[in-house]
Amino acid sequence: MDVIQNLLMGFSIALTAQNLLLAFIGSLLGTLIGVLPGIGPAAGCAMLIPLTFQMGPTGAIIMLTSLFYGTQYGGTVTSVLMNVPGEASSAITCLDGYAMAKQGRAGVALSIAAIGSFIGGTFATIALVFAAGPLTRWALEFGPVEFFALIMLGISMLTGLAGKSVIKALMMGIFGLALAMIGIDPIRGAPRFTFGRVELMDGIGFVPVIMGLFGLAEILENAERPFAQMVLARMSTLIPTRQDIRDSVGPILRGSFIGTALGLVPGITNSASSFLAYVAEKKASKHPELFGTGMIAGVAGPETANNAHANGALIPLFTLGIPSSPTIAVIMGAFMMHGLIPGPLLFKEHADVAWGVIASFYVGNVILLILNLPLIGIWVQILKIPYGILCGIIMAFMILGAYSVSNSAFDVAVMTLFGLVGYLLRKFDFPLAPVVLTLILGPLMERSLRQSLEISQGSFGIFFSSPIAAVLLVLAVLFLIAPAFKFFRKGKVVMSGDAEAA
Amino acid sequence: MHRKHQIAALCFLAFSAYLMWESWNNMEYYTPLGPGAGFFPFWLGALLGGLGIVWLIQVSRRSGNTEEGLSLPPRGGIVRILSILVSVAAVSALMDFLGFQLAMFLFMIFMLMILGRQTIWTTVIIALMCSVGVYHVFGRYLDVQLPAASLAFLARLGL
Amino acid sequence: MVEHRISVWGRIVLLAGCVLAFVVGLSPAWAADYPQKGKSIQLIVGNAAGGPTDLGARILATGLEKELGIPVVVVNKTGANGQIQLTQVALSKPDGYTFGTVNFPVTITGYLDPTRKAAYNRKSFEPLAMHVVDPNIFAVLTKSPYKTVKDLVEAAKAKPKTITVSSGMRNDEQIGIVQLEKMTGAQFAQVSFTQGTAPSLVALLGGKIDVHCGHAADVLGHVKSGDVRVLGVMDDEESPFLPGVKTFEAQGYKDYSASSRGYLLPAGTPKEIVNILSGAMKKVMATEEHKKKMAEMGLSVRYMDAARLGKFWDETEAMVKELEPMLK
Repeated sequence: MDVIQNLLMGFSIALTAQNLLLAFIGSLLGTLIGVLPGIGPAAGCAMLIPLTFQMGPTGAIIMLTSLFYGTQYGGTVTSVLMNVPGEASSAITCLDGYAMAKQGRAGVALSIAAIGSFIGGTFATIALVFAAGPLTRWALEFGPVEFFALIMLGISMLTGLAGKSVIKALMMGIFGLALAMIGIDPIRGAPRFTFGRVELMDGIGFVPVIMGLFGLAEILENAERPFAQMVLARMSTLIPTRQDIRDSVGPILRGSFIGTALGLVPGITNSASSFLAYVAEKKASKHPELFGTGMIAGVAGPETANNAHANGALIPLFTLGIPSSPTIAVIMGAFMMHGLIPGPLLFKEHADVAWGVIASFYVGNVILLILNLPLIGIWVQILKIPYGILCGIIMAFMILGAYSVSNSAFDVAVMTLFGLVGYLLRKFDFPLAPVVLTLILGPLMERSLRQSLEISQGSFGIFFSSPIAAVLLVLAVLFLIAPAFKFFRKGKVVMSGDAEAA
Repeated sequence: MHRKHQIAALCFLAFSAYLMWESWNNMEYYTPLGPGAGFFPFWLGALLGGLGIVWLIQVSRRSGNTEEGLSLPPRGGIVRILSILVSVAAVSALMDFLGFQLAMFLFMIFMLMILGRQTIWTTVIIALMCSVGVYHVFGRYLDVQLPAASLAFLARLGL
Repeated sequence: MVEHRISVWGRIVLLAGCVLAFVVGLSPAWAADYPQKGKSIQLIVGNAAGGPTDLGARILATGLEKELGIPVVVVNKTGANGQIQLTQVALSKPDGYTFGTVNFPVTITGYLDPTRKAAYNRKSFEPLAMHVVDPNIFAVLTKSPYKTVKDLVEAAKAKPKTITVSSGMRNDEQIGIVQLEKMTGAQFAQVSFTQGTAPSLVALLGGKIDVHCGHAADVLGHVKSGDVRVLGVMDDEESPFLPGVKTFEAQGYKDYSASSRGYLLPAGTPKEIVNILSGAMKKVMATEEHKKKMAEMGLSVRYMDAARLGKFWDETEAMVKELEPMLK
C-alpha cells in the first residue's frame, strides 16, 4: 500500500540519530514546560523557534511538535501532585488525580496518564495517516452553526458533573457562564463587566481562575489546621494494579476517540476535550458518585483525550493548512519559515518532510512514554517534602504561573480572589467542575451564536437547516431535561440527598 | 443553624441581581441580528436568581441537626487562611514596585518561617531559590521577564 | 515610644527613597551616548508569542542587537488588542530603552472607541519605523461564481446582505470591507471572526461563508493547490506572494486596507534617539537575510522612517474617523 510505503520512508527519516535526539529534546523540554504552570505550549514553541533556524525543516518541526505534545503530559504532573494544573488542559485531572495522590496512589495516576497519553497520541496519529481525508471532510462540516450546537451540547453536559445536588451543579454552571461574559462582547465589541480594568478586556484569565479554585483553595483548606499536623499519604506504589488497568481500558479508548474528534474542529481547545472526556467517563461509569474521590477513570479519560486532541489537531494542519489552535499556529509559522506551506500540497512537494514528521509523531509518543515512566519515580518524591515547605513552594509556583500567563500581576490578584471563592464554595459543598466547564465553553458559545446569526442575518432557522446542528441541539436538550425528569420523579430523594451533603 | 447557608444563598441572589441590573441598564438587550451584549448576562442572572431561591428554600426548611457538614475552622485556622490570602494579595500589589525578587523573598519567608515553622536556614535557602533563582532562570532561559523593582533605589541594587 | 521611633525611621527611609527616585528620575537621557553599553533595550510586543507580529519583532530584534551592540529583549504583553502593551509603552521613560510594536489600524480604532477608555492617543507616542505592510485580500472557493471583485460587488448590490464575508471588529478586514461598501453602495453580510484566521478559513472551505477576507499568508497553500481563488489585493501594487492577482485598484476600486506593523516610542523621546533607532532598523530591514525570513512567512518588509510613519498614522486616523459610523 502506498500509505505504508510512505510511512516506512517517514520512519527512515524520523529514526535517524539526529531526529531522534531532537524528538527527545523536544519531549523533555515539553514535559518541563508542561510542569511549569503559566508557560503554555504556544510560548514554549515560540521560544524554541529561533533555535530551529539553523536546523533543517524536518528536524525543526519534529522538535516543535514533540515539545507540543510533551506539554500535554507534563501538565498532569502538578495536577496530580499539587492540585495545581500545569496546563489548562490538565485542570480536570486535579479532581481525581489529586484525590488519588492523597491516597498514596500518585504514581499510579501518573503511570496511567502516561500510558493513556501514549495511546491517545498514537490513536490520533493513526487517524491522521489512514483517515485524514474523511476526517477532514468531517471537520469542514463544522461552520459557526454546527460549532454553536456542539458547544451547547458540551454545556448541557454540566448536569452530568453534578454531585449530590443538580441545583448546585446548575448554579455553578451559570456562575461559570457569568464569568465567561467578562471582557469584550462578541456582538458590538464593547467591554462588559470589566470594572474599568484593561486586563479584563480579553476575559478573565482561565489559568489564574482554575489555579485559585483548585490549588489555592486546597491550600486554604489545609491551613485550617497547623501545617505541622499535615501528613501526606505515604507513597505505596507506582505500578498500577490489574484492576487499575482494567478500569482504564474503556476510558482510554473513549478518551482517544473524543480527543481526536474534537481536535479536528478548529477553535475547540484541548481543555474542552479533556473536560468532555471526564463528563463522558462519569456518565459511562457505574459509580458516578465516586468521581472526585480518586477514580482512575477520571484521570485516564481526560489525560488520554488531551494528548489525542494535541495530535488530532495536527490533522487539519496537514490536510488543510489550517492552524486550529495558537500553538499549532506557531508550528505552522515554523513550517513557513522553512519555506514549506502546510496543506495538501505538502505531501506532493515535500513528501519526505511530511511523512518524516508524521512518523516522528509515533516515535515521539514512544519517547514520551519511555521518558515519563521513570520520571514518575522522581516526581512523586516531591510528596516527601514536609508540608510546611511544600506548601510554600506550591504557593511560589502558583504565583509564578499566574503571573507568567500574560506577564501581569493582575492575574495573581485574580488567583487570590478565586482562591477565596473556591474555598467558600467547597465549604458549602458546591461542585467546582461545572464552573470550569462553562468558563471554557461560554465565550465560544456566544461568539459562534453571533456568527451564525450574522450569516443568516438574524434568522434562527439556520440552526435547523443544518442536520448536524439540529441533531446536536436535540441531544443537548435531552441531556438538560433528563436530570430534570429524575428530579421531578424522585424530587424528595434528591432534596434530602442534598441535605445530607450540606 | 441555617444562618450560614442562608447568607450564602443571599450572596448568590445579590450576585444575580447585580448581573441583571448591570446588563439591563448598561447593555443592549437585543439587536436586529439577535441577542445583544446584555441578553445572556440578564438571563443568566435570572436563572441564577431562580435557582438561588430554590436553594434558599431548601436550606431553610431543613432541620438543624443536618447542618453539621459545614464546620467553621478554629480561630487559628481563620487567621492562617486570611494571612495567606492577604500575603498573596500583597505580592500581587507590590510586585511591580518592589520587584519580583524582593516581594517573593518576603512572601516565602512568611510562608516558610511563620506558617511552616521551618528553621531560618531552610527558609532563607528556599526563599532565595524561589525569588532570586527563579527570577534569573525565567529571565534567561524561559523568556519570562519577571518584574524588576520600579522604585529607583531598589532598581539600583539590581532587584 | 517604640512605635514612635519606628515611624521616624520609616519616614527617613521613605524620604531617602523619594530623593533617590527623584535624582534617578531626573537624570536626563543623553542622546549622545545612546545606545549605552551595559544597558539593554526592551521591545514590548502587544501580541502573543509565536504570532506574526511577535515573530517579526523577534527577527528584527536579533538584527538590531548586532547593529546597536546591546541586547534587545523581547517582552510579550498581551491583551485587549494591544491596549495593555500600548499603555505600558506610553508610560515608560522616553529614553529609547523601551519601545513597542504598533498594529494599524487596530491601535487607532482602539483608542478612538470611547468604550475602550484607552489611556493614550496619537500624541502619546513618537512613531519610530514601519516594518511590515500586509494587505487584505478577498478569497473565494475556486468553484465560486465570483471571478472578479466586480462580480462580487454586483452580486452584493443585487441582493444586499446575503453575501457572507468574514470580517472582524474594528480591524483591518472590517475597514477593507466597509470602504468597499461605502464606495460602491454594496452591502455584505459581515460575519465577525475575531479569533485568528483558522475558523474563518474552515468556514470558507466548508462552504459556510462566501468570502474570506484575510491576508496572503492565510491562503498561499490553498491557492497553490487550486482550492481557493483570490479576487483581489487591497493595495497599490500586486502581492509578490500572489503573482497574477490584480489589485482592487486595478479593478477600479480604490480600496486600500492592510494590517500594518511598525514600532513606536513614548512621546518625548529625543529626536536623535529616534533617528538612531530608526536608522538601525532600516539597515536591518534592508538585509537580504531579514527580507528572506519575513518572506517565508508570507510577509513583505516595507520600511518607513519615523516621519513617514507619522504621516501614515495621521492619514489612517483621518480615514478611520470618516468610516467610524460604519464600524461596530
